[in-house]
Amino acid sequence: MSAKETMSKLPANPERATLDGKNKFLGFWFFLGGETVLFASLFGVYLGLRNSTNGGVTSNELFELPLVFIATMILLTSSLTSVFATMALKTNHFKRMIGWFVVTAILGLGFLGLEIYEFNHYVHEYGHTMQSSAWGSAFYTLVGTHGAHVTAGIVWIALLIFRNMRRGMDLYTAPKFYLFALYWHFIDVVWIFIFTVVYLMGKVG
Amino acid sequence: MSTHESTEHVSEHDQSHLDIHHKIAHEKEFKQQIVSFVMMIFITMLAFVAVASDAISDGFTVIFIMILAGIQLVFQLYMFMHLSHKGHQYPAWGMFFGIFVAGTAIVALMGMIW
Repeated sequence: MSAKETMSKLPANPERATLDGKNKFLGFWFFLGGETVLFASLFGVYLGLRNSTNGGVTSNELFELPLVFIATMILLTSSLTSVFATMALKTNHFKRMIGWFVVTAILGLGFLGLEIYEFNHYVHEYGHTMQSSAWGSAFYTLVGTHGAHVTAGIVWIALLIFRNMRRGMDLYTAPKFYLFALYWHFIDVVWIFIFTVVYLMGKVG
Repeated sequence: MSTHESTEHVSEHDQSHLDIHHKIAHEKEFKQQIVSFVMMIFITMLAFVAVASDAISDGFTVIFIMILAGIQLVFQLYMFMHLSHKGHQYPAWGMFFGIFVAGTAIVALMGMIW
């Protein structure tokens, strides 16, 4: 009975049930298309400059695969938890959705912590900085822009949860939470290409 | 803004009928998502192993891991972001156009920087 009660109050796709939701949905996808181009320009620059080390440390000497692997697993898992949150959203389980988004945000913080440790390690142990070489500039700009997106995502979901905790699930809040999940998956897509192009290809040579 | 008005015209019978379909579809999707996630973990491990092992030549490794990244992109867009679902025609075009411009930008920048 309780399942029926909760499910019958919202349409099948609550994130697109209102004009407001439809507009947000479409606009956000176009934004993600634009973000793709932003990251592509940074990837292109990185690929052009990845061997311009200015006589300093090379990518093969710098990167440690275990750290990158753990960061990748954390972000991939957070993508799954935001899928669970979206499914809770579609079946109108507000508390369950919030719970999964909280887990997503915590995993995001874990990823961010690893990245801060990594950058700090590179700067202090290897002298690999934004100014040390063209490759350094390209590396910190690309990976740092992704890290800034993760940070923005954590702040975004924290504000959404904080502001809408009491309001619960309706056709006004559903699009907001749905779009955050889309954004988080996009962040994961960008990371897939960062660990492949920057870290793994950096190890290959 | 009105929130509940739009669903009130649906009769109780229609609604429970919809709920059953909704629930079946939901359970099917849940399984697909889990399978996708396991596949993505597996693909990620494969990419790391390919780079860590010396058995595969460097040239082939680069092509191999780029293909694996491409597969993961498809998983994310179509399984996790539901790009194949109904009502995603314009979003799909937006993304495809973005990816097309992105590909052009990457090739152009790689060619321009010496």
